[in-house]
Amino acid sequence: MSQVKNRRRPSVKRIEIIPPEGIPLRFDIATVGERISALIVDLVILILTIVVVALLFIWTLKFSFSSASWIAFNSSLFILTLFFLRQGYFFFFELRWQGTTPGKRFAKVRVIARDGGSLTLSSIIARNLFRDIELFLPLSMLLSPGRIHSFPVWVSIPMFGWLLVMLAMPFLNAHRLRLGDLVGGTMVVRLPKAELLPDKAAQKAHIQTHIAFEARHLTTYGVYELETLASILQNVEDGKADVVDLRIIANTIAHKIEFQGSEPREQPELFLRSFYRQQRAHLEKNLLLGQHKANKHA
Amino acid sequence: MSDKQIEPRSVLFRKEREKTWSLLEQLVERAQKKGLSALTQDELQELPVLYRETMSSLSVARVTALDAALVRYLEALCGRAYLVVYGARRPLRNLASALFTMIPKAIRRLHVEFWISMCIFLLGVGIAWTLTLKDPSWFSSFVPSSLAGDRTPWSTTEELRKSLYSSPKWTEMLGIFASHLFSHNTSVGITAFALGFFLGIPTVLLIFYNGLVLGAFIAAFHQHGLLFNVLGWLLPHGVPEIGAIILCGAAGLTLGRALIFPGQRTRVDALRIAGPGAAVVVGGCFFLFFIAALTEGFFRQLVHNDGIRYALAAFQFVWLLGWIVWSGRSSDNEHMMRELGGCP
Repeated sequence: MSQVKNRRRPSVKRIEIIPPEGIPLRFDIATVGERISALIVDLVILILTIVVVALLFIWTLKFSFSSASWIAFNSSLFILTLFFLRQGYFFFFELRWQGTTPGKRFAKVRVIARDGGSLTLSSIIARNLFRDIELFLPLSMLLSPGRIHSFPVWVSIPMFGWLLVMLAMPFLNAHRLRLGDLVGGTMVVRLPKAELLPDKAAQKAHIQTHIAFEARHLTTYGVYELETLASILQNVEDGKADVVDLRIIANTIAHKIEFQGSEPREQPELFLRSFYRQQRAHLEKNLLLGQHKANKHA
Repeated sequence: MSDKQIEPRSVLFRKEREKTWSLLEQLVERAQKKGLSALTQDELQELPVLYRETMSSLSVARVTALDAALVRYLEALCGRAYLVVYGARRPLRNLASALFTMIPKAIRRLHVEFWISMCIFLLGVGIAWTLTLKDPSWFSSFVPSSLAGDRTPWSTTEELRKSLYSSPKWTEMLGIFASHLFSHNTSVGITAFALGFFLGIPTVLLIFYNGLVLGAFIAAFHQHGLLFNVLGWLLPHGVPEIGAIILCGAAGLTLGRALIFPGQRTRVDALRIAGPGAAVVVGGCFFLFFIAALTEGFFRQLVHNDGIRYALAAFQFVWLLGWIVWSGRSSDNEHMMRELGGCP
C-alpha cells in the first residue's frame, strides 16, 4: 500500500483565511510562476491596446483638414489615454472583475484580502499604485538604460537596491506578497477547483451482495489506512487499477485483520468496497464518541 | 447486521445535503464566469443562504466525516463561494461619494503626517530662499537648468517679467502641455507615496527637494523685485499642486511611520492598516493634479492680470481648505472605517 502516491503536491503552500462566518478556509497561494504568467498576459493585452490607440492617433493625423489645433487636441488625448491605460488597466479590472484581470483569469488566480474580509476599493488602489514603481518604473529603466546613468551615484545605487528588493520580494516571504500586496493587505491565491466525486462508501445499485465483517475485524486499521484505501478505490473507479494488485491488497488486509474466507481471492473489489464501507462506518461512529484512531499503530 | 446500520454516517450526511451544495455550485459557477449581474434577484438572495449552509456542512464534515474527498470538495466549494460572496463589493455608489466623503476622510486621518510633510516642504523653501538671497550661485545647485531655462538670478528683470506675462506662441499646444504636466506630476506623487515604504526617507528627500526648488525659484524673482508677480503666476496652480505633493508626501510618511513605529502591532499589520487609507489620499491627489494641470496649462498662459490670478489662487485655497476640513464630516459609518483600513 505504500506505493500509492499522494495525489496532492506537497510543494503547494496554503493560507488559512478566517471569513466572517468563523469557519477557517484554506487557499493555495498562487506561485510566482502563475503570477508572472498572469502579468505577461495582461502586459501583452495592455501593449496591444496601446499599439491600437497609437495607430488610431496616427490615423487621425492623416485627415486633409488636420489643422494644428486638431493635431494638438489628439496629442493631448493620446497622452491622457496612455496615462489612464497605465494607471487604470489593473485597477479597473480588479475592481470590476472581483479581484481578477484577464491575465489572472487566464492563470486562474485571484486577489483576496488577507484579513478574510471583502476586497476593498482602497486595497485595490494601494496595490495598483505600487505597481507603478514596482513594474512600470523598472520596465522603463530596462527599455532605456541610459536614464540610470543620468542620476548621480548616490541616487542610482540605492535605486538599484530598491529594484532588487522589489523584484525579490515575492520570493522572500511565505505568502509571496509583493510590496503592493503588503501595503494593500491583499494576497493572490489560486481559484479552488471543486469536483464532487461519487462517494465510495455509498450503496451501489449494481453490486447486489456485500461481505459482512465482525466488530473484531474493524479494530486494526485507522484513518490513514482508510484514506489510502479510498484512493485505491478511486483508482478502480478511474479504471486505473489492476485486478492482480487488488487481489494482493485484499489478501494483505484479510491476513492482517484475520479475516477467514475466500472473498479476498475471488472478489477482491467487492471485498475492498465492503471493508472500506464498514471500516469507515466504524471509525466515524468511534469519532463521535471521541475516539480518534489516526493509523494502525495508534 | 442490516445494510442500513452499517451505512457510514457521512454517507447519510452527504445524501441529506448534497442538493444544497450542487445548487450553490451552479450559482457560483455562473457568478464566476459572468459576474454577479448574471444572477436573478431570487438567486442573489439565495446565494448567501446556500453559502452559509455549505459552510456549516464543511465545519461538520471536517470533524465527523472520514471521507477526505468529500472534505476537499466542500473546502474548494466554500472557498469559491466565499470569493463570490465576499468579492470586491462596491462601497461607493458613485464618484461623488468618493470625492466628497471618502477622500477627505482619508486625508483628515493623516493630519499628523500632513503637518510633518508641510514642515519639511517649508523648511526646504526657507533654506533655499535664504541661501539664494545670500549668494545667488546657490540657485543652480537647487534648480536643474532644464527646469530653470532662462529664468535665473542672472537674468535681467525684463527677461524675468517677460517669462511671467508672455503669451504662448502656440495656443494649440496648451492641451499637450497640460496633459503632460498631469501625467508627470501624478507620477511624482505616486513615487513620493510608494517610496515611503523605505522608512519614509526617500519621501522626506523628495518633499524637501521640491521645497528647495520652489524656494530658490521665488528668491530669484524676489531679487528683481518681482515677488508679488511670481506668486500671482505660481499660486493659482501651485495651491492644488503643492497641496497634492505635500499630501502624497504625508501618505508616504504614513507608510514609513507604520514600519518604524508599529506600536502594538506587527510591522506587516501596521503597514496593512496604514496602507489603504494612504492610497486613497494619493487617489484624491490625482484629482488635485488634474485641476492644477488645467490651471497651469491654460489659465496661467492665457490670463496675465495679477488681480485675477490672485483671485483664482484665493478661490483654490478656499475650496481646498473647505474640502479637506469639512467635506463628508456627517457620514461616519463603520463601513467607511473598514474601507480606510480600520482604526488608526
